[in-house]
This record gives sequence, structure tokens and C-alpha cells, in this order.
Amino acid sequence: MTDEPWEIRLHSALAVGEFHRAWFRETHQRVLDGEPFAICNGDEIEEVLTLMGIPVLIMNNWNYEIIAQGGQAHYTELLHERGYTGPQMFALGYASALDPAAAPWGGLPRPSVIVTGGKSEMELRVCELWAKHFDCPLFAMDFMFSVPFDAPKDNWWKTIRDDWPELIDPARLALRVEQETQFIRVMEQQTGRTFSPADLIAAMNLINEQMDLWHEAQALIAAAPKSPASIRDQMQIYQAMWHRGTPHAVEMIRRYRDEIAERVASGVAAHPGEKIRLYYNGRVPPWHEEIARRYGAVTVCASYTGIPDLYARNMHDGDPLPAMASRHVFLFAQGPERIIDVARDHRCDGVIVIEPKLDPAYPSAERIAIERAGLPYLAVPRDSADHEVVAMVSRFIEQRLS
Amino acid sequence: MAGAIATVLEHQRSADRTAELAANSGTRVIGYIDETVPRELITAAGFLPHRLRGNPTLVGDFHARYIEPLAPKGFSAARSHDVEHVNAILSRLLAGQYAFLDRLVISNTRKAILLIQHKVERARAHFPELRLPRTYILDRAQTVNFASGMFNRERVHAFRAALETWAGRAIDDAALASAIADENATRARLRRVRALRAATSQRLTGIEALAIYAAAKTMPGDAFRALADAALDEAEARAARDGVRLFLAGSPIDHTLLVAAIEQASAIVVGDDLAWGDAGAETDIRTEGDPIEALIAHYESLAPLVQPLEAQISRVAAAAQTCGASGAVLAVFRGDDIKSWEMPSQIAAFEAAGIPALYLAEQPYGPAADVPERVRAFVASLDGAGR
Repeated sequence: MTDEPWEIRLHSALAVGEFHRAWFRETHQRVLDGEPFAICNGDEIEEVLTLMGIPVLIMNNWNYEIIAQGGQAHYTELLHERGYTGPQMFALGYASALDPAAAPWGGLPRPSVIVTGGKSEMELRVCELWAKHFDCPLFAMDFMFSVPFDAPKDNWWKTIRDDWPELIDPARLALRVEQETQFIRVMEQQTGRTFSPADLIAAMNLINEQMDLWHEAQALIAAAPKSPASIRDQMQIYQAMWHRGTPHAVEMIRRYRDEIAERVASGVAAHPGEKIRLYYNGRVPPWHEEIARRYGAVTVCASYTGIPDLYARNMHDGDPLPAMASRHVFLFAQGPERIIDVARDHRCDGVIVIEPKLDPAYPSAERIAIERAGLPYLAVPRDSADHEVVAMVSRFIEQRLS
Repeated sequence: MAGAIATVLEHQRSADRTAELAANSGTRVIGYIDETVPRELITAAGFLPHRLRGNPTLVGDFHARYIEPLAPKGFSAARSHDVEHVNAILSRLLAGQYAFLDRLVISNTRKAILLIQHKVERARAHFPELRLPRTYILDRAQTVNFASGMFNRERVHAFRAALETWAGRAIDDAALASAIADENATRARLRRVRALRAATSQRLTGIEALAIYAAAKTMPGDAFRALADAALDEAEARAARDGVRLFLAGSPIDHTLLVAAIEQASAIVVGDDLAWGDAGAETDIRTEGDPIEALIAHYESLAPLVQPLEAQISRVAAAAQTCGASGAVLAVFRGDDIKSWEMPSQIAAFEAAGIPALYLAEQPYGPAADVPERVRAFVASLDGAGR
């Protein structure tokens, strides 16, 4: 063992975390001051709420805040006591309304609106219950019908920025645009604030600029001899996504890009001991530190890698609403093709995918495609650092990657 | 000679045989999965509509063998996309039991059902030996508002156009009006079933009622109506039977094993909110005016699966009260997150109406081994309360 650190954090990533915490405190104060605010599911229509000056709390942001403060077990138990069975994650926010004293901020006050969409039927149901509890309006909007079940065409992720009209059912897009227009009208009436299409055009351009800088940063990470950004920092920076469309979000990603460029120029690696590069089909692997320290096997990219590219949308005919709505109904499709693309781009030695219904008798779609592409593949049954999973990852590295 | 009720029960055991024989003699059969598909349009286009269901006795590793190698994990493995009754239908498709279908129409009423389309198409491309039908998505918005209603309307028009293409001829209004009249005549029989099973004098068991309902979706209309009339006449003429009156709701159960377990415990299922149950006996399609507009209005009025929760809860509680149930059994399949998030509100609504409920959560497709015992204890508790 040497004295060198196993991981060197990025200042720009830590700054994003600090900014977001400050924003969270400020939002709390605005809410306490009685400003209208919205609880919104992720990737629905939060850009518009932000433009209208309405603080918006993203549901999973709130859920992760509950988890960070150690509330998951308490609220899961509370939901089970109320008859809601099974593992709980998305509904923690709703549960926090049932017992606000144990929640961050001492619980949320009544929002002006709860906004959700048709990505998940369970989420619709939970949001209905949440809105009923607060006695506030629920605004639900429809989602795309086939995506994300079927990848629309080869390499769709490389062209979606411009050819999104070809990738989305036009009737579904028209329905969503109509529903978003209706939502804007309702919010204008309810809050007395106005929506400006010109402001949305400016925000869409800022989002594209932010995503371009993010793309540059990721390209530097992929090409560097050793990754200059840990997967933890890559995920930490993701909090900038919750502020997309604002000048400060662009600046946060610009600083991230610049810091990575500096690291590349000076040969600094996030993990000085990096010897083996992994793709992980999740967020930050729970076993990352243990495996990195033991083998120098570093996760350099994961499920969220490259996702910022998919937020960029070019407007057609100067109309920002269809371009924005196209992202709300289709952000990404599932499939091994994009995993292979990201893993190859990042020169990964192996790919690790979570397969909850792991059946050794039959190979999965991911295993077939990824091994056919020449990449060693490991399926793990869960996102965990328990003994069984760590042993599987260790064997994979020792037997196939070392 | 077997009675009409025995004939219906026998049909239940080989429900696909009629459609398969029709297909073998040249009739083109269009399969579909739930009540939101307008059968009348299929009939008017000259096809035989046939509703698909799972089979709890089918054993095989179809999903692992044919779907795991094809379907990406990210979403397909998600809990809400891995629902027991939907997987059961998929297994029958993969087992080749629906090879006689000319097409399969999949309505977008929940993601797990929609996912069947993706899985069948992938399996069809990779395993041609499975003889899977070609698929068509009948899209439907999940939200309830003016824009989504207009969207749904256009999807029915698109479905009509697709049927016309498959048939190679236009669907004329007279044919559609005739199909609507036939289905209305069928619904009249189903309402008779619903009334008879809910009557104070219990002459029709839940098993028998569900068998008649199922026959309506798996037999040609004329044959069904004749058989249903005979079965209902036969039931009305026999003696009433005792049994604690129960209402069954929860996941869209499409088999009768749970009902059998309940009725073996000295109870009778007098009403339900099942996929193949009382819901099919709803109101007629209006027969005046433009038939396609009447059809669209009817299917738009069917209770949406997902939204809104309050309407769903009150509708089911009212149905249990209407049929005079002494108690309710709520059974929810593993992975059915729509229903599992309804049940606490549903139980509260039942309790407010004075109807005790037994909640069977996280159930496998066929009833769990402890279900008969739990139902017996529940029925005994109702008896003990003097019900």
C-alpha cells in the first residue's frame, strides 16, 4: 500500500454540491415566506416553473434529501404500516408529508401544485395521494407510448438533438405540447406570473450550451490516459441538471470542463492507482472504493454518462415548446447498444450490469450484445456491496481482467 | 345431455378451442388483451375477436428462454413492468398457444401490457418458429382531460383504418351498427348475469358467472347469446344456495382459481371488479347517430385504469354495496403497483361502507398456498359477526 489517496475530488464538483445546498436553503426560506412553489417529478416541465420564478422542488431531489438524513427506514416502515407494500423509494416524499416532523425542513408546506407524468403508473398513483394529502391541484401529463421500450433506430442518441421529430410519435408529441400549454395557462392564472416564450428560447439555448460543455468534459474524461474525474464527482456534478436553463448552471459546468482540462494537461488522475477501467450500469457502485483499492479497478463511466447530451434539443421554426416537450416524452431508450458505445468510448476493460432476475440458464440481451462486441461482461444481482456481490466482482476482475 | 351451465363451464376449460377451430376453417381471428379494445370494429371488419388470458397451470421457462436474451434490463426488469397476469399471457403466446391469431391488438392501458408488444415483436424476429402473431398498438392516453379524449378519439379512427387495411375493404356504417347491436345484445345477457349473481336468492356462483362472462369474449356472438340464455334460465329455475356473500377486487385476475378457493370456503362471490367480470356488463353503446362516434364515446367512458384514484375507489365500493356483499377479498399480484397503491384507500372506503376486507398482497398468479385457509378464517369471522 502507498500513501497516495485512492481518490482525488474535483473542486468544481464539490462547488456544485455547495451551490445546490445553498439553493435548497434559499428555496426553503422562500417557501416559508409564503411564495408559491411546486413539487415536480423530474424531467417534466420544471424549466417553465423556474422561468416563471416559481421555486420547484424535484421529487427525487427531496427523496434523496430524506435518504441523506437517514429517513428511508422510518418512512418505509410508515408506508408499510399504512398498507403500502414492497420496497420504497419514490414514495418517501409522500411519506414525509404523513409525518413531517421527521422530514427535512420539518416537512414541506402545502405546494401550489404537484406535477407529474405518465413515465410510471406507480408515480402517478403516489402523486395523486400526495396531492390529496395536501389538498392541492395535481397536474399529470402523458408520456411517449413506445419509448423507452424500443430503441427507435441505430445510434439514435447521436442524432436526437436535431432529428427528435423523427423519433417521436407526432400525435403523442402534439398531445404533450397541448398539455404543457394548458399547464402554463393554469399556472399563470393561479400565481399571477407570466410565461414568456422568448425567455424559454433563451433557456433552451442555455441548456444546449450547458450540455455542450458537459459533452466536452466527458470527451476529455474518456480520452485521458487515466480518468481525471471520479464516478462520484461525475454524479455529484449531475446536480447542475436541476438548475438547467440558468446562466449559473452553464458556469458550473464550464468550471467543471476547465478543471478537467487542467487535470488532463497536468496528468492528474482522479484515482492515481487506476489500472483497470470499468463501466457500471448504475450510479456510483457501492463497492467502488473496496474494488478500486484492491485491484486498481476504477469505474470510469456509468448509466448517467452521456445523458447530458440527450438533454440538448435544437428548436425548429423558432418554436421552443415542441423541442422542450420532445425531451419530456423521450429522454432516452434502453438497450445494450448505448452501453457498448459509452464503454468503448471510455476504453473500458469490462462492463458490469445489474440483472435483478439473473438466471444463469439463459443469457440476457446485454450479455449477448456486449460480449459479442468483445467486452468482458459481468451480471450482478443487485446494486449492493454485500459479500456475494463483492466476491462476484472480485472473481470477474481476477479471472477475466487481470 | 349436459346442461347449459355445464356446457359453459366446459367451454371455460377450453376457451380458445372455438376460435382455433374457426381459424382452421379460414376465419381470421384478431386477439386482444383488455376491455378497452372495441370488439365491434373487429367484427364489423369481418374478423373474429378473441380475448387473451393467462393460464395458471401452464409450466415453462418461456420468459427466461425467449425474452431475457432480447429485452434490455433497464425498464423491463422494473417491478411495475413485471406483473404476474401480464407475464402469464406472454407465456401462452410464447408457448405457441395463440399461433392461430391473425393479429394481436395491444391496448396501451398500462406499461406492462404495452411491453408485451415490444417483447412479442422482438421474439417474433428472433424466433420465427414460435409462430407469434403480428402486433398492433391501440394507443390510449392515461390522463383524463379534453386533450387526451381527443387523442383517444383519433386512435380509434386509426384502428379502424388499420382493420380496413388488413381486411382489404372498408368498414361500412351498416356493418358497424350491426356489430354494435350484437354486442349490446351480449351486454344485456351479461347484465342478467350480474343481476342474478347479486340477487338475494343465490342461484349463480361466482365461478359460473365468470364462466359466462368469459364465454362472451371467446365465442361467436350468436352462439354465446343462445348458450347464455339457456344457462341463465337453468340457474333461475334451481334452488338458491347458502353462502357468505363476498365481493372480489384488486388486480385484473383472469382465472378462476381464487374464486374457486373462496367458494370452497362456504362463500359466494356475488360481485367483482375483475378484468373478466362485472365490468363487461356495463352500459350499452348508443344506437342512434353516427356509429363510430357512439363507439368512441362508449370506450372513452370506460373507467380508466390509472386515473383518477378517487373515482376508482368510489366506483368499486359502490359496486360492492350494490351487490350486498358482507365482505370483500382484495387480491393484488406481485408487481401490480397500480393496485397496491389503491388498496389502503379501497379498504378504508369498504370499511366506511361497513364492508370488512381481507387484503391478499403480493400474490403469485395462481393463488398462494395459504389463501384457502386465510379466506376460510375471514369467512368464519364474518359468520361470527352474524353476517
